[in-house]
Amino acid sequence: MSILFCSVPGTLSNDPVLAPAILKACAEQAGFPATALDLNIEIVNQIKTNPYKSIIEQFFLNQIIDELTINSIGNIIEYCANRILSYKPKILGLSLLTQDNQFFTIWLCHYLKIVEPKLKIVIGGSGIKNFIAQADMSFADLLKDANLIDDYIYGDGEYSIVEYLRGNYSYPGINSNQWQAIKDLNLLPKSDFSDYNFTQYNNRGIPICDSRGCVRSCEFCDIIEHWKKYQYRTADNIFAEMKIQIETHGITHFLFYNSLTNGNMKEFTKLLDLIIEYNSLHSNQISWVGYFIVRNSSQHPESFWEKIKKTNGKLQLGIESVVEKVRISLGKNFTNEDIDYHLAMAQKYNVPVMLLLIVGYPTETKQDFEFTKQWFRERKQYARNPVYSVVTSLAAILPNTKLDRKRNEYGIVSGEIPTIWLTPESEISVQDRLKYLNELLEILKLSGFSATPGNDNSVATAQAEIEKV
Amino acid sequence: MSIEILENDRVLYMGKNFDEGPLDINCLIEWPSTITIKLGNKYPDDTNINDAGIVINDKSVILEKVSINNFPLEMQVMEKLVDNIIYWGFNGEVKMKFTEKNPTRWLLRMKNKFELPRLTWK
Repeated sequence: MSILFCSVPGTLSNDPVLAPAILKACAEQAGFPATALDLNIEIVNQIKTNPYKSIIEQFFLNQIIDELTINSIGNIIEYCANRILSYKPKILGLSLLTQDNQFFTIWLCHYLKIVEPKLKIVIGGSGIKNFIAQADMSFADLLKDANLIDDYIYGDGEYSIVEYLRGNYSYPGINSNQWQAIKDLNLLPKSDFSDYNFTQYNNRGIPICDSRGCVRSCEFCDIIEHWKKYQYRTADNIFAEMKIQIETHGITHFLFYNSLTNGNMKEFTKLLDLIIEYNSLHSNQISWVGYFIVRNSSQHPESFWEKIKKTNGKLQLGIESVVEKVRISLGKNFTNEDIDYHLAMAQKYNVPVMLLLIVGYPTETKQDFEFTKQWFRERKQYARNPVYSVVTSLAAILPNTKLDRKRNEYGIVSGEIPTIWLTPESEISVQDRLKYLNELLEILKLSGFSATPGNDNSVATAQAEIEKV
Repeated sequence: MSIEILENDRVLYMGKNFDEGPLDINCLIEWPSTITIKLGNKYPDDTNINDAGIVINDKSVILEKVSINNFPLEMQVMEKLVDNIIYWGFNGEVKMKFTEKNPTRWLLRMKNKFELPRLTWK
């Protein structure tokens, strides 16, 4: 019984999708022949020179069917189906990274069920829900009821896909939102990218999952509601995989797909030491990029920054708010002094840093907006070096998060979508927050920072919702 | 009423004297295709009109839903497919034109969206 694991286009990222490669490894370890296909990158590359690229993207994100792109979209659906069927799989495992993959999944499955009705389709991944922490499985159930898919798997899929292939459909997570988290990530097989063509990616790097969940408990975050316990791999286990991937693919750049790389400082420091040793012996050095939490200077002393430099690390810092009281209260327990320390150290050691910022958090005031603008104006010396990007996201109230449960406490009145909400007492409207976002982007630009809205679609949707109102 | 569904000369479905209530009809067609739906068996006394001239009973077929390989058509697309006549209380013919080489292409051409409760709070 052969299975093809395939990423669903719509993520619109230039980076490799990890899930097909790890699932292939799990299936093959259990004796089921498997292939891994990253269709997402193939479509990203196909549409990048299309004059109607942005309209095509709107089909993926919002199912907008424009006269100008009907043929292109039809061609993309048929191309994906042909690519899938060329492997002659008996089972197709479609991996949905986010809800942005949902519309294309529907259309692809619709076409596949017409041209190959016997193909069994199972979907999985966090994108089979609208929000990861929501109990609602309506998307997957809707597709299953319409016979567009045969089954779905929710939650960690590494063991459940194997049980599915064995015919054990009562295993947790199969056609159910009751799933079991992997208890020890170290026991999983190493991802198998042998079917991937890494020349397709602009940013050639090997994805690696070193942890799931988080050591922090930020109130806006839905990841901690999904993976309730922080799980990590040991430094030895991660490094062993790095060496395998380097030997197999000759690629020494690693993309950590996680919530944070430095959750377990003991293992993380050991990993840095292993990489430093490797880099001291090889001209083709290891480099990496990953999410990173800010801690105080005693936990991240200067010697630690030297290590990061020697491992060619690139950090993505979720600072969320530069207003200290807001940030600490939402669950990020570090001071503005700690942020400045990190920026100074990163600059001193040439460690590139991305800053992730939530714009207009529910507890922020108009004065806080002004403070934030000024904060960035006063830190223009960090623009480009070390801060290579500031990613701004509109504050969203995600279902089943602590923030959602605190709605009454904060006086939040929710709208139709997560980015549409009000705190009437603050007298800040949704329009005010959008205006603030645009002003902030302008200030960042004027101060020399490279800044982009983190989720264009959420901004566009919020704007559309406002216009509707 | 009687209903006969044809694809060219091939009979896809034939039935008459239905009980009142919903009826599912599934047909397999070759794309592109034009389907002819022949309606018959309706007589003048099948329509009852009261003294005020209001129709109180009528023998008819109402097209409520069309799905193409389990992909439901939006109301406006369904209406477009049958020239805005979804109340079939007559003897005659209705044509449905499926002009593309496959159903997925046709749904795209018709700009038919799959309704999905996506970003809302529910």
